[in-house]
Formats: sequence, C-alpha cells, structure tokens
Amino acid sequence: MNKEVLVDRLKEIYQAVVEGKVEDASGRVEQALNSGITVDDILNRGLIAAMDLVGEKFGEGDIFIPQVLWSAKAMQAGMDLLKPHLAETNRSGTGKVVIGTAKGDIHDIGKNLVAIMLEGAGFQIIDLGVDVAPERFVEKALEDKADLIAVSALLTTTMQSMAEVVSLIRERQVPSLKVLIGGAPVDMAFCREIGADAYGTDAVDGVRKAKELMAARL
Amino acid sequence: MTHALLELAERRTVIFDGAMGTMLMAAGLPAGENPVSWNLDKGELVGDIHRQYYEAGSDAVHTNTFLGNPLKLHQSGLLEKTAFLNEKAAKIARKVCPEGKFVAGDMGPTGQFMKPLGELSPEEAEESYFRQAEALLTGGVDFISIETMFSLEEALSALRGAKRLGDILVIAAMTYNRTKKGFFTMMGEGVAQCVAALEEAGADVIGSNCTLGSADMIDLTKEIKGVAQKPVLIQPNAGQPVTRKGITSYEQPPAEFAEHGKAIREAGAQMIGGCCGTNADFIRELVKALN
Repeated sequence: MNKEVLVDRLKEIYQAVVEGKVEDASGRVEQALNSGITVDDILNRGLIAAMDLVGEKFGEGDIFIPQVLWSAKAMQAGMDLLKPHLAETNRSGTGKVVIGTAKGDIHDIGKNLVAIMLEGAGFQIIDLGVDVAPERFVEKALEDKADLIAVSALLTTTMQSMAEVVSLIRERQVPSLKVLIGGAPVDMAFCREIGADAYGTDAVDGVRKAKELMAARL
Repeated sequence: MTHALLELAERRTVIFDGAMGTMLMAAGLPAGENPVSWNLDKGELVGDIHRQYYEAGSDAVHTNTFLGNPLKLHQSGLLEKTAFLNEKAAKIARKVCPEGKFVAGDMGPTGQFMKPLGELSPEEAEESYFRQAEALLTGGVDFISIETMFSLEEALSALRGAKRLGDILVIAAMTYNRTKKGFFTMMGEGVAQCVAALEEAGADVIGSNCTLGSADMIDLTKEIKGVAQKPVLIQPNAGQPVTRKGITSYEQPPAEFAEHGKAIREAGAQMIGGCCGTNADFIRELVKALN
C-alpha cells in the first residue's frame, strides 16, 4: 500500500472517533485491517491519537461530556475489532484495571465514564460497581492479577476509604499494584497524603494518569 | 401564575435556606447513607435544621428530598418507600414552617444519563419526577424546586413531571461549570439555551445552584438575567472545597459569602440562598448584608 493511501485510511479512522461516529469507526477499522494496515498503526495513529485530541478539546472547553462519551464509544467499537489481533501479553501503556466507587458511595457517573474511557484506551476493565469495600478492591485485583485499582468518590465522607485501599496494598506488599483515585473532592494534596499513586482531575486526565502509571512500570 | 412567593419577590429579595446535607453530616449522618431515610429515623433532627434556617431569616426552606427521586431511592433499596419518605419530609418542614413562610419541595437529579448516551428515557424520567412531586405536594409543600440539574433534558423531564400535577409553582435550577468559553452545564448546554427552554416549558422561576462559589455566581447571575423573563433564584456554594488532612471542607467566611450575595442581588437575582458548605450562619450574614 502506498503511503498516501495509508495516511488517508488512518485519517478516516481518526476522524470517525473524533466525531464520535460509532458505526463509521468500526467500518473504517475493518476496512483498514482488510487492506493490511498494521494493528499498531490503527491503534496508535488512528484510535489513540483521536482520543488524545478529544481529551485536549475537552480540556479547552470546546466539547463536553456527551461528545467525549460518543468518541469513547467509537473508539471502543474499533478496539473490539482489534482485540483478536492484539497479543495476549500486556501492550505498552495498557493493563488490567479493577474499578469501582468507594465504600459508602453510590455515585457512579464519574466511575462509569472513566471505565468506558479506560477501555477505549485499551485497558481491560473489571468493574466492581458502587459501594465497594477496600478489601474487595484488593482481593479482586490480586485474584485477577490486575495492574491498577481505580477508586472514585463523590462524597467527602467516603473518600477516606481510598486511604484504606492504599494501606491494604502496603500490608500485602504488592507495590506493583497501583492505585488511581478520582472524583470531585479528590485533589493532589489528598492523593499525596494517603499515598495513592496518582489522581485524575477528570475522566480524560484519569486515563492519561493510568497510561503514565503503566508506562513507568515497564 | 400568582403565588405568594412571587408576590414577596416583587417587594423584596426572597431568602432561601443553605445546605441540608452539610448540616446532616455535621449532625452525624454516616457516609453513604441516603439522607432521605433520615426523614423517617431522625425526623426531629431534620425539622430542627429547617427551624434553624427559618430563625436565621430564610423565607423558604427545601425539604430533605434532594435524593428522593424513586430512581435514586432504588439504589438504596428504598424504592417502595418513595411516596412515604417524600410525604414525610414535606410534613416535617411544614410542621416547623412559621406563618407566611414557605416550604419548597426539593427534587434533585436521578444521576443517570438520558438516552441515547445512557439508559434513561424522557418518559421514565418524567414519571419518576411526577411520583416524587405528587408525594411532596400531598405532604404539603408550597411549590416544587428542581435543583442541581446538569442536563437540560432531565430538567425538562422533571418540569413536565411536576407540571402534570396542575397549576403549581415550579422552580428549575441548573448547575453550570465555568469553562474557558463561558458557563455550561456538564452536558454542554449554555445559559441562554437552558433559560429559554425552561421558560418555554413553563418554569415559574429560573435558578442556578451548586458547583460554583459565590464569586463566580455573580457573573453567572448577570448572564442569566440577560436572558431570563422569569424571576431568578441563585444558590452558590460556600466557595470551593479545600482538603486538609484528608478532610474536605468549605472554608469561606460567611461574611464574604454575604458580600457576594449583595452583588448577586445587584446583578438582578430576586431570590438568594446557599448550597454546599453553607449553614445557618451564612443565611444570617446574608440577611444582614441585604438589609
């Protein structure tokens, strides 16, 4: 395939994800796979590059949550087609995440958003739902050999259980298991204080931090 | 529509209450418990919070039903108690409401995304709000106050649900984020779009509450007043939350909130109250500053 056609094909995938066109995205990815474009190119120069732009536009206030979600869904549709072609081993920048809302907290919009976007970014997601006890986060992560625990909280009163997740991991002595926290009341000071590995200011930032944690690990 | 609340608003600034959740947590509400259940278990305590607000100078207080939508109660296993809990909450407030003051039936968001993004249909949403508003009215509220709406579509569903109960006064308050490009709901709807749609759908008072502190609310009030035909209710948070030693709190001094309250009135708001982090002290200071 000549270079121009390759660039055009990837641009179409990129565009479909940026515009949040789910069917378009999966159609373009299928077409690209059939014409012999590598999975790496489709993933990195198509899907992931598109979500990077979406994150940037969200940060600038040019687009909002609904557009971000549609783009994440479009990316997901593309990812579904790529999955059979991806190696079994963890790819760089991706990993397995156990995600849930902190104990005592039943708010799940933020958590769901992050889960969808992490999946879109190539992470494998184990969603434990809402009101998840610290022990359950850690048990499940160890059982399924996860790389990352992601805890969300909306209430100032429930964010304390995030600290328990961190101390349980210390108790079990599994430093390779990382903790990512997020939610309205969470900030850098709190993240440092409880010793979590990272926090996300919003869903887009959360995905960025998750990728950084995985990259730093390799 | 004629209503004693609107008549009062023509004479002077109407004072609403401050936060309920903040006061309940201060009283020991455990994390994760739906505060609506306290209408049943700790009715006296809820009533006492209302009384503190009336004594501080509130003309209207909100019932403890922000999370009382059946779709929310369902998550706490309280679905079948929807009518009972909302009615009870209205009665608690009614009981302590002084002559000539008001009880607002509070309705907060379902927390779900509407179709096609989420699973919730406009009809389902409308029905859930209808059921909550019906119970609140049965319990004796003077009007319905829809709050903290981050989606215009959901706010419109709530408004339609409440209006199905007849000619009752309904306040519709959205919550806006301040972005580099201006004020928008989480779903990306602008102020002019929201105000026009809510008025078109029959909202009697246009409001905004939560997310923003009192300083940002001054600018937002100007923008809302630029487009709203109906009276405007503004309920800011007590500044922005601060985390220290793992405890998150609002640290704005009540006097500063009250000063901003004056600017919000000057910007044209006819009704002012408080949201997260505010308590009776904030309302007392606000009343003092406005007089």
